[in-house]
Amino acid sequence: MNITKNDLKKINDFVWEIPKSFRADMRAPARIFATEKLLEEIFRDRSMEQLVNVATLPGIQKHALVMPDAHEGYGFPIGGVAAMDLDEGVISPGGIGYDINCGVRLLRSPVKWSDVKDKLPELATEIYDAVPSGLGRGGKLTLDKNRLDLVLGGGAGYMVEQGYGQENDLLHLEAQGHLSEADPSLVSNEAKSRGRDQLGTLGSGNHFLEIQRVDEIFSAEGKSASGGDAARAFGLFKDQLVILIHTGSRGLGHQIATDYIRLMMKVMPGYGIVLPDRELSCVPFRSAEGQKYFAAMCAGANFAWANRQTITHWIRESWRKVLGDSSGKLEIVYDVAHNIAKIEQYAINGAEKELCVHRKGATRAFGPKNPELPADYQSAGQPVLIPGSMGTASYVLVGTNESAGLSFSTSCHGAGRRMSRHGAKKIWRGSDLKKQLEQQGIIVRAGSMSGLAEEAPLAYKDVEEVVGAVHGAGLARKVARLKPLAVIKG
Amino acid sequence: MTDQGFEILEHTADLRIKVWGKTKEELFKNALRGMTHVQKPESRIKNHKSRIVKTIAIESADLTALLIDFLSEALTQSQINRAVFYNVKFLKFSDTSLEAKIEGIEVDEFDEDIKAVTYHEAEVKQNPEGVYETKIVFDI
Repeated sequence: MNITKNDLKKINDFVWEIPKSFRADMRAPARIFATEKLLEEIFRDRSMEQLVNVATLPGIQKHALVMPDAHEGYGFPIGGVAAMDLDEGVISPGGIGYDINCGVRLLRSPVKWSDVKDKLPELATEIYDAVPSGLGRGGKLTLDKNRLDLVLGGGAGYMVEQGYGQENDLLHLEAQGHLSEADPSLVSNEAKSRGRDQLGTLGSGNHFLEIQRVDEIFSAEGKSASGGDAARAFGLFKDQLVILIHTGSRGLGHQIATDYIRLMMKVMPGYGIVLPDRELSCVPFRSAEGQKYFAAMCAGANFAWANRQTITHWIRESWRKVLGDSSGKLEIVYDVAHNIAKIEQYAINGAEKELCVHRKGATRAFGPKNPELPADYQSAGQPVLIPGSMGTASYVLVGTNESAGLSFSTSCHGAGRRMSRHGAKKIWRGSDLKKQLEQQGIIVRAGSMSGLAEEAPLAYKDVEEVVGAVHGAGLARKVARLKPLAVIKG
Repeated sequence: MTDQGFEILEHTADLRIKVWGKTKEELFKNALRGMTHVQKPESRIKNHKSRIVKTIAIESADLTALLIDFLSEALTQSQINRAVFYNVKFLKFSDTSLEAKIEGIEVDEFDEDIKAVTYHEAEVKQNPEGVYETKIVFDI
């Protein structure tokens, strides 16, 4: 059944609903957070049909959701959110994605970018050399099975113990960079073989590092301002130099997802679950297979946090090498996962209930006073990091308390693609894009020119429109806009 | 255009291909070649390194799942051994299980990093001419 705009009910300027009556197999209505303009773009691919499929999953609570940066995925749409009852609901690896705990980390420096302007090309080169990136290339660390298990069990904390960071780093990571439910013994040898030499590697595709400057700070009302409470809490100021890291759990995470989707395909009929798309394959959360996948997924998430921690350490080394001790230290603003399932508590029909919240290309956005947030962010709320497309603006937002009721405390995760990689490569040449970026004063260090073409800014939605929709819907509010100074990718 | 047994279709963020074959075995072989073509076209292998052969055995619920699981296994071997697999010889083949030798070449790096082979939209069907075909979506 084809879905059109006429099937949607407008809730307000930023929220649209597909009623449960749209398709007989829906167990909940579906909601889309988008402006009218973004909605037009979302309708160009199969995101809506995929969202309706998500609404058929057993145990889904309130609504199946997509964020304004939604686009077609496989199984779940990218930008999809589904919260499941722990007793009657399922866990679906396709609702988390193959790149488990793909996420973003932001580092802040104490300096203005103009103070170190002359050193930026050298810094970009140094970081490009220090952090291995590219297609199927191994990294600088090769872990034996015992050490890999310690990484899978310990996450970012294990890397800090090993000298790859400082103790207070962990306070500023989602889940402190570690999920205690992880069980490394439930990760296959194949997954471990794929991850063996991938700790501390960026990978390819849309993963990148950017040296950026804080271009604008917003007040609590979303207006341009010289400073805002949240910006102050996060240690951000205008013209500051910051560094953004976007990567995940690499081949190790991809293999965990592959292994468990295959397992679930086999056992799902035994649980009497029938689905419109096999890629949504799932099992009851409390089942043996559901618990095993959850523990393996948590191990994959820990690997990703350890990966971003290792990369942070090497960036700090590059920083010191190029700028010396006089330019101060790089501190972590925050680190968010945007492909993950977490157990979180929400009010359902007036009663607080633990749910398994699947986020696939969506970011947790806790409001102020959430007990998981560190003391220095208690009054502001959680930083939400939104990488833009290559060469365009990125955003720092802050979570709101309203988002708990609206979106299970979830915000968007990026600009969201609107054109295929294949299509982008047909239109743009990497070398031309590199020239264009350089003409705008952006330094480019990229291993692959075709990889650069795939990430052409026009292949993405307008990040301003996406962030505007998130802000307008009340899911998170704007804190700072960041503009790139240097793009570093594989 | 020569019939290479696969064709690349559009997908917003990932990669969708169509594959076909006169027999089930040919469909599987063309699907493997389609995946490998994305990872690294044969023409782009400049420094032919060591040849590599791996034996794989798979059991699945039905023919479609068997195809996806076969490609997933080849991808896993490709990633672990940093190799691309161009050919397959089936030792055993039924609708729900197979045993095969996949043959490839080690490479320094891939042109495209395929993360996973998905079941999304995959459904092996025979068209009116009797040719087996399906779409396959890869996460890239």
